[in-house]
Amino acid sequence: MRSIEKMLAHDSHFISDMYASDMLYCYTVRSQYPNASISSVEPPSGLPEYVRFLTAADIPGRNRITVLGESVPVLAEQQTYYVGEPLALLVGPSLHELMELAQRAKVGYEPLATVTREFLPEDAEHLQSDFVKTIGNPEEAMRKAFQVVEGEYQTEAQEHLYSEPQAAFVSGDKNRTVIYSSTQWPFHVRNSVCRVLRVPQKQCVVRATDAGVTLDGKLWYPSLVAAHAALAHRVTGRPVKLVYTREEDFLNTTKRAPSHIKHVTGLDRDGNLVAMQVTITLNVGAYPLLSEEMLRRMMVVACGYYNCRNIRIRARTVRTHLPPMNAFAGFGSAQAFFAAEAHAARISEVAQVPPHTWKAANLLKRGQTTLTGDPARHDVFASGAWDWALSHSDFARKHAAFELQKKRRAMETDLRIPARGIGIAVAGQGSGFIGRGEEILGASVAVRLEESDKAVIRTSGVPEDRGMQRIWVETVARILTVAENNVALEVVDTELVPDSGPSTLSRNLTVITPLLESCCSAIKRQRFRSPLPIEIRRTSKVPRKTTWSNERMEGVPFAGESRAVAVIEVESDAATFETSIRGIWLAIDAGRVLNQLQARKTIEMGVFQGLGWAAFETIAHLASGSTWIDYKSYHPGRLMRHPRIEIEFFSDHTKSPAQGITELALSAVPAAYVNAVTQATGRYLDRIPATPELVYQYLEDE
Amino acid sequence: MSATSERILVLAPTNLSELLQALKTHPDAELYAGGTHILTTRGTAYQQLPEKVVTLHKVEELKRVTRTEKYIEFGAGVTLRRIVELGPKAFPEALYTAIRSLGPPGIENLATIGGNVCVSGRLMTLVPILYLLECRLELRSASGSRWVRIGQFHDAEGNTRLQPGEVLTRLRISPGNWNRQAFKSFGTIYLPETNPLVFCGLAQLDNNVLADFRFAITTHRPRIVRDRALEAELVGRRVPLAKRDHEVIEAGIAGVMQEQEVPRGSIQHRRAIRLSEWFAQQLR
Amino acid sequence: MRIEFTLNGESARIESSAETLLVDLLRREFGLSGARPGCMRGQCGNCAVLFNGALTRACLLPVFRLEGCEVMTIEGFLRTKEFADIEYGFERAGMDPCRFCISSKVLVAHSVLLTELEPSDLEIERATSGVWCRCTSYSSFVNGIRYAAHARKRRYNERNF
Repeated sequence: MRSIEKMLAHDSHFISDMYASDMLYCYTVRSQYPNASISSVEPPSGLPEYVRFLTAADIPGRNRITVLGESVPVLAEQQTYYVGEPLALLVGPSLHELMELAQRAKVGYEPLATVTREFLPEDAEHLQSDFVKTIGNPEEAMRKAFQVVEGEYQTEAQEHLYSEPQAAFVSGDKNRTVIYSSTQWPFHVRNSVCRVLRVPQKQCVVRATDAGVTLDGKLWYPSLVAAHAALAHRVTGRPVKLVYTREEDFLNTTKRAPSHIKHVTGLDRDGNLVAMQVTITLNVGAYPLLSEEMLRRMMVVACGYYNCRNIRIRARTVRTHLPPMNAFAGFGSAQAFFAAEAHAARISEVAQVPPHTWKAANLLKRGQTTLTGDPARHDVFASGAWDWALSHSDFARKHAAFELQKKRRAMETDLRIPARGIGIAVAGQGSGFIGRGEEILGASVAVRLEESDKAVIRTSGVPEDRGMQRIWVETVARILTVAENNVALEVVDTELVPDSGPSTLSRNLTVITPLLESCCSAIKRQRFRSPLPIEIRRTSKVPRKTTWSNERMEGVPFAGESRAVAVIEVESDAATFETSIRGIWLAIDAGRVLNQLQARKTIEMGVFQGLGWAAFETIAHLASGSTWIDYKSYHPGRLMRHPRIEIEFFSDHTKSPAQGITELALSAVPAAYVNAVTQATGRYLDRIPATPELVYQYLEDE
Repeated sequence: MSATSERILVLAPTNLSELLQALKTHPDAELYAGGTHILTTRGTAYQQLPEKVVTLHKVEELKRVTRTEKYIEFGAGVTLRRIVELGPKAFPEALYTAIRSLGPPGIENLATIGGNVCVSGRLMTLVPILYLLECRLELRSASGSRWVRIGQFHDAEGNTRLQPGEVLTRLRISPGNWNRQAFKSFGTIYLPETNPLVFCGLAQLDNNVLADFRFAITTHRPRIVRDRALEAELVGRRVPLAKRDHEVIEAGIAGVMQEQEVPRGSIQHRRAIRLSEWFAQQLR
Repeated sequence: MRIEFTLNGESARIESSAETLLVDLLRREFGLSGARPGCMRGQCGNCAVLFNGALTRACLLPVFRLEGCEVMTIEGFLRTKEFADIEYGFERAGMDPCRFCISSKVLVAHSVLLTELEPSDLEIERATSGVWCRCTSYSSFVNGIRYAAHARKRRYNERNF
């Protein structure tokens, strides 16, 4: 393991550490209204000569950043759609001065009506995409159902809290622009900046800096930041640094999209599923981006892993006057799984069946058909993950015991005795973009074996952590039989590496890694026939025979899939409803595990990310459209003084490829936590974050 | 010593006499203790400091801690960390808990007890528990000194009643002999949306009789919620309290919260009632 | 204003505006980037330094507070024996923190061990609440501090022999 000292001693790769002697700072002037037409954007009075004020009129090319057909403005022109929307840029030698000047910028607003928290699905102005998928005859099956269970589930935004706030550093000359960007998608930054500056791609180079943990917060937003800095550089001719403060980042950048999901479920006399109707509404803020990918992924998993022959799912995005809300590790799956699993817990209570029994009866079995018409090749947890999770957590006994305690508590009022609860949830993760998305995006990687037996990996993929980097190094070293310390990663520079697409949805593992394997195998075949150096490049291909249809939402949606069972046991203070966690058990079915230690770390990190979202991270959007952050709420220690997490990996097919796992805990943990707190508090919780305040609110509602 | 940069004047007295003189000469200067409030609540990052600042960090007289049989006295410039290092048994447990709730070590090492009390416009976390401990504050100026009870240190808007040229120098509390103590804090005072609430309770039991009983609640509004009539009614009752006593407490708290314009049914209202009930159940 | 203070064990003299914050001063005047500017309001903990031996946030220290004081940044702390204990603890716990927050995490661990070689869960929770980052699991950070505590106790015991 690389020592901490070495890590600290090396030159920093963060933009906030970059300096140039003639550098200027760039600071963003932002909208103060959530929805307003703009009549003018003028610099403040007394603007010093050495400070530049740039608006949309200064953009030589296209005033949009585009992602898969959807876009946001670089600088708003005639209308602003959210508080914090970039309107202009200030460029000068003192950041303090720019911040002060920004407050005095003169903007002519005419405020318009605002929509933030309320979902208005029938309002055509706000309703964006609207997809429906039906199998069987859900209306008739619902009419004939023995009983119907309804539930509405809501999830709030989540801040990515990536390592370094959004930032860009741009330098160069009139023929070449060099952009240092903290990004998951270097070529998207390059292509976007070229369109904004209207220059050919060869004139723009992007060098990816150390992004640390990103969680999809740096998928497309860095392109916007880079465009701002590049515009400032273009106008001034000097190096420009643009770094958001943490608070600026918190308040103004993209977050996990809030959702509202309604489940109406028909059951037979035994409490088993006969019909499901799910309505998903995703609040995408002012500009929908990646919305189709999110909606389709949510639809695929909206019913969880349960067997039902009559399903209707409607999924739509609603545009509101919040900052753009979109991807957060999982692209919406976590929201959908939360609703599905919280609803499953409700169903089991109505059916008067323990949740694990109900799940076991209704989880997909081999041969049963999924929502997308794909027959299940084996039982959902044939690998043994389900049984392990139940036995190691002692779920059945504890759940029954805590139910008894709950009933006794209803009759007593001793607030000194804490209450206990245990919850279970199942979730999954699809690797790569849905269906033929991979073909649209594409991915290329190259491996070069040099005469010194040194191998160089060339990819624009940005590893989410050093573990992923190690996997690549180990993979190449193993196949080429070279020493691991003879394998190097080429610097991520768009002039030096091929376009591997965005580093998201576990593509680093499920797309780039197999391409590296293919490169190495080809090198191995040629090695003793051709002289060194040998460089092989491979590009991903979606098999022609892929059965996925985007229009019909039928077939096999993902190249691969992993699954998890999560069990969480909690204790809730009867007076304050503050919760502490007594135990977490996670059983993971993810095919071949390339590096157990790293996989375990990834899952653990996901546990805390999921708990944060489910339990305490608060970022609420006020009706006025402005946002506030409760900083104190962002700390996992308040839940787990002495955390105990057990993780076990399973695979029912040893030769299966490795599947992505980054999002698994994020998708499984929230519902398991909320279900546990529901049992402990005796209050049916249907939203996250499930804070003590929510419990209090529900106390009164009763 | 003083220093002038381009924009601000910083006065850095090294003893109390210099401090009082500096305040006499510059009554409009802002006092700067640990800086944790002034620097964390600025409108934006890098928002400028006041143009005239008197920094207190060199004034040794403000850093003393004194203990006698009857009271404990903290200099206004004593950091929270220093107080914590005295240990939980050195002073009432509820005050210790309150101090520890204010932030991690990176904040504790700078923030001062005087700074917490002197924030204007709101009642910070330590105020209610200091109020229950009958804290008295010494305020000094170049022309003299006076002691005030902490309950009279803030006006109705939460602004301090420091006169121009005055500075808080000492805080004196009566530790008492409390068998049951409670301190719970929720939310963030700066953010009403977080439903901030501080609940403090002290009780003295003597042979299963409630010999003394006090509680205080604050929210984001700059008022202390306390019902002395309710406290007096409960003193002398046997513990554990009877069901009727619990009802009296619940009704009393609800009433006082409403009088203090904490809306009935609000999370703060419900929380205050539940915590009062919980504290009453501790009395046994 | 002109001030003189001790930085990483050596005397430092600078002239700067009195309200310049230490986190900016370290980068601009001394090229020390380990203390990272983040929220600039003392919330995120990424600008951790040791100020007169105690963990403090460099964004809460204007220059006028520094005269005659001791500042140690992560760059100086790396050279101490105390760092070695923490490095051992973090590696033993399998922590793999990102480079953005590692400095703060190391100094937070040090602040815990300064006062207690058998820190309680509560002490660790309090101290770690001062550093935000999603790069590490909370439990591995807790374990890292505990292993560091063991290493330090062992070192003290060996020294006493």
